[in-house]
Amino acid sequence: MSDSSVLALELNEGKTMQKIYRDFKILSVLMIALLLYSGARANSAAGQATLSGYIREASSGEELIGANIVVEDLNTGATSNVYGFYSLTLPQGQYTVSFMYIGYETLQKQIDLTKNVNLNVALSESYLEMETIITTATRADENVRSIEMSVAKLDVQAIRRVPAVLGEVDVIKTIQLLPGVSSVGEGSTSFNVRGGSSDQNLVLLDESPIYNAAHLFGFFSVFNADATKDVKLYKAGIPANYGGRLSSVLDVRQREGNNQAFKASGGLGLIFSRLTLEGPIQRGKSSFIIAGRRSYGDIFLPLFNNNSTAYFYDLNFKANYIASDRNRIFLSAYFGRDRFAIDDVFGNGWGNAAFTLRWNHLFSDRLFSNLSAIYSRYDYQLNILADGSAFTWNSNIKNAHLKYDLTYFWNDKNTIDFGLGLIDYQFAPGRIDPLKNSAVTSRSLNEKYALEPSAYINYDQKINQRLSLQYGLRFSSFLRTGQQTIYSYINDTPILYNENLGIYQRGLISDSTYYRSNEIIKSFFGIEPRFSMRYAITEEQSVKFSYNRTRQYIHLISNTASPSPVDVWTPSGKYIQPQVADQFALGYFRNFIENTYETSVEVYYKALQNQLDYIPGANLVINNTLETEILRGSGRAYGIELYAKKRSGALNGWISYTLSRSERLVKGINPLDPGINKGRYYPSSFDKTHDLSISGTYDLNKHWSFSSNFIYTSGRPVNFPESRYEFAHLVIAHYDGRNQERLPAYHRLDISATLHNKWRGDWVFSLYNVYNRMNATSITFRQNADNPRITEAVRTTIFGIVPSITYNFKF
Amino acid sequence: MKSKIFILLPIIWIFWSCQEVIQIDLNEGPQRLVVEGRIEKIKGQVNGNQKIRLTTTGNYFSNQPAPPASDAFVTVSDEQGNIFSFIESGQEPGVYEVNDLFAETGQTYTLRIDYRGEIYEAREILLPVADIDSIYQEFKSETLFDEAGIRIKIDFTDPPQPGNYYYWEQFRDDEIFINPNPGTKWTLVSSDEFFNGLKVVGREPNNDMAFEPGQRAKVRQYAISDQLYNYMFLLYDQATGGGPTDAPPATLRGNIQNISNPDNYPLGYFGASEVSEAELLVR
Repeated sequence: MSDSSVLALELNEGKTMQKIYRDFKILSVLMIALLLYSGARANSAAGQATLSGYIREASSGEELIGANIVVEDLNTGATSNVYGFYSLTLPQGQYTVSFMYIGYETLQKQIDLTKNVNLNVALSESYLEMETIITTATRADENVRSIEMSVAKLDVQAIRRVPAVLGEVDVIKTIQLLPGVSSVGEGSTSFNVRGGSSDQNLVLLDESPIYNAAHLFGFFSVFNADATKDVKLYKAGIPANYGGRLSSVLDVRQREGNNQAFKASGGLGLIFSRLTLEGPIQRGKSSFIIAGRRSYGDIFLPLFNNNSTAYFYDLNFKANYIASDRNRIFLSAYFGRDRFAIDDVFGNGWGNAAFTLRWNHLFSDRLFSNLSAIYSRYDYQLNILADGSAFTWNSNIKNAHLKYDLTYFWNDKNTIDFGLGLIDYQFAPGRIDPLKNSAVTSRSLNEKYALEPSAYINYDQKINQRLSLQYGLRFSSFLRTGQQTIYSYINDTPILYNENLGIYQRGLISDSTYYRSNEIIKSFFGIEPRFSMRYAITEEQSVKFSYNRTRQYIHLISNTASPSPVDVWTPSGKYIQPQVADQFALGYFRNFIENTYETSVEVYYKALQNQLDYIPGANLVINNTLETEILRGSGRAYGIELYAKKRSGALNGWISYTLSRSERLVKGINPLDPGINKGRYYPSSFDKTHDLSISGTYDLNKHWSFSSNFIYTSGRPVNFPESRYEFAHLVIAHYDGRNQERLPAYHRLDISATLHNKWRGDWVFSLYNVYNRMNATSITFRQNADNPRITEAVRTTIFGIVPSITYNFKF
Repeated sequence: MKSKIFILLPIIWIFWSCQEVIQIDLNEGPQRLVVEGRIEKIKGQVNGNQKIRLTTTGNYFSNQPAPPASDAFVTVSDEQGNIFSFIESGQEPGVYEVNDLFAETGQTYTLRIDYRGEIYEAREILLPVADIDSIYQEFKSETLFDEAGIRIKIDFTDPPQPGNYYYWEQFRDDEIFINPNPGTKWTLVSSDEFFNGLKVVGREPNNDMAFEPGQRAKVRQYAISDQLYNYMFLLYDQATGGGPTDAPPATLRGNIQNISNPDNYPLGYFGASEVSEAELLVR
């Protein structure tokens, strides 16, 4: 059954996509040339000129992302892009231009715009009275005026104020407090956005994808807040330049490093410590930043005495160089590792490594380009060292990207983005080798290879003061290639259903085909339209609507509710189709009392195709033929998100409430197969009906501030037994249906107090789960150890009340 | 062994976690027939006694022994058309037996049950088993997972063709108990995937069971079908688990179907195995 969508095509060879790709490249070059030429002509012909440049912070030289440039006289303006660059084309004349960024002094300049002007500005931090402290760097009316909806922008100040587990601030813990974002369990940093599974989030660190954003089995994320500059989460209305995952984009940008003076900062906590060093390499022209974290092993294993460890470390490094007015080079690197070992019996390690090399080039004052070369690797290693059966298991996913992104700032009302990208994947799902001369035979799962070329064009248009549109198309394709042997099955059915016994059985292999290196096994192509619209009813109210289609070509194979380290990524191919999602979102945004209060209501509906589910008892871990375990289904998610935020004042914070549903449907593989849950919709494993988060901060005086979180969510769907029986000397629980029960509701209160001292550092005291609620991570059923006839339900709780202290310093 | 990977993942959750037995209300499901039967051919013996136990499901927290399913008509037939009628035992309600079914390897046995007006049927082939070459004991000191004590070990030689599946029962003074843990599905049943055609030395049929001198150990080694292997593997897998890093529990279906009313499916399995027995008096 092919896609119901008219827009998705399947090709026998990748040739058509290759042709489109080649055409697009030629087209891009032509477009660049055309735009440059017409830009220059348009300017002189229509009497226009361009004001452009970079907006930075005065003390450190860090570029400011999303800073505002306002020309009051024309009631128009622009914002700086992710590299701090702005470009504004206006009719020639004299103007007063204001440069603004929350928390900084507004800078006003008189500009004589008779020809193109290049103006770089530096904004200084403003020192305001306590009452007017703003907690976020986004512009006051951003939520109403911006075309973006379903987007949360967090800067590090906002993240730092939220109390977190064990006193450490965390990017992912903070986004879980926002509407539409939930998590499966205590301590988990996998997150779910609008009913999407955790592998449907594109997590980027300076444009490099991160495959597992969790340290220590999910208690902390890989993002070091000290090295982070900007975080943006797209839940819907995803612009065309992003693709590859269905449900969200978490775009994390690292800081550049102070290019004016050397600085050191860090913190000592109960669980881990951090140190950040930054400074200029050449004052004003280049800078670097190195940030590291390391946790302590001993804290974690009170149960095991000797030679047991659990720790993680990470290192963020970045350097940049302003080569000229038109060229800048950036190098970012991230390296993180977790290690967990018990005695000499067991060792486990995993980690991400990501490198990005970027080149910003200004073709003209209006045409900005960025070329990125990215390499990312996630690997996982397991060592079992028991005598006689010692082995090591290694698994990894590697990819290399090349992306070229261009933005043409046509004028203050129109901007065009376009670009190309190519990802080269290599999946090594697992290799087992003996250790210490043990009797285990070496085994290796087939390596898998793929290419994902893409191209996009996006148009941002301000029709008038009230109406703005953003629309674009993304062309994505996926070529699964050799070198690999692919199996064929009798009757082309890798899974059979035995209707007499009511069980799935694995199909029989009929044949195998060997594909050479780079020979195409299967190719996929799709068009992803993206559309957003904003209509401003008044200065303080707007209505927004968005539609996007997204496609995802790689999948996390996991049948557990919470991702576990043995989950493996696999590419689409002969038996696994790309996932596709269509999402509609509609929202009403309103601010009160001069933007002091922000409120919004958003509703969304998402339809998902080609979702993966698994046969009962699926063997997913060391399996070369996953197609015999996978069932294909669809899904839908819908909900309403309410959000209210107080942006300024001594007491500020937000309340978010989401009422939603996320369901899956897996029908039978043939008419006699009833499918999962009798072929009816069942809740996905991460469905949370109610999700309420309240987060607040109170600044008492110059020294003390307090913050608090309260979270209430419905319990996740689970399976409980409906009866019991005896077999093989055991009492067995009998289950029927899928995810028809729920765990008890989850709720907790956290508080923290911070003592600020400008010269001696800050002390943060926090209390997690203040009233010690025993939230159930799981409820399992078992025979009583002493009396096997008695069965009991056991609730497992991860955290009771946890106090913590952290000390932060800055030089 | 592979077992260790999967033992340790659930342990991660134990670090900070605390576990508590709680009261919970469950929705009751319909009562179903449960069949536990195995036609056996014991190596070195001539045995005609075969037993099949029929019970029904009960309330999950009933904490009663499984209710017997009495007054059923139970027959087993072979490929030659011989039909054996099993009679319900007077002493043990729900247990049906015959004394004259002398089983043969390679024979396919068909079970037929008439219970409460519905007909159930199952079919299984009796597969030959490798001999237990030797049985012996070894003292093991305390490890991370096991207590100290004497463990029973066996040696056997797997036949050269692939596709042999094993099930073991280990008795201590004629009693058997199983404490399911994440390793159980790797120790009580096994496929010959990792040792096909090799002599297996020092396998512990149940490393949870510690012995003291004077106790009598008996090990029964069964050859089972691949379908029964998958069933037992999943059964042990589900006996422990239900946490977020475990697969969702599945309905465990055996090889018996309800011909009259497919929705009222039965539980359990009808097996047929050749058995190799070995005994040891622990010193």
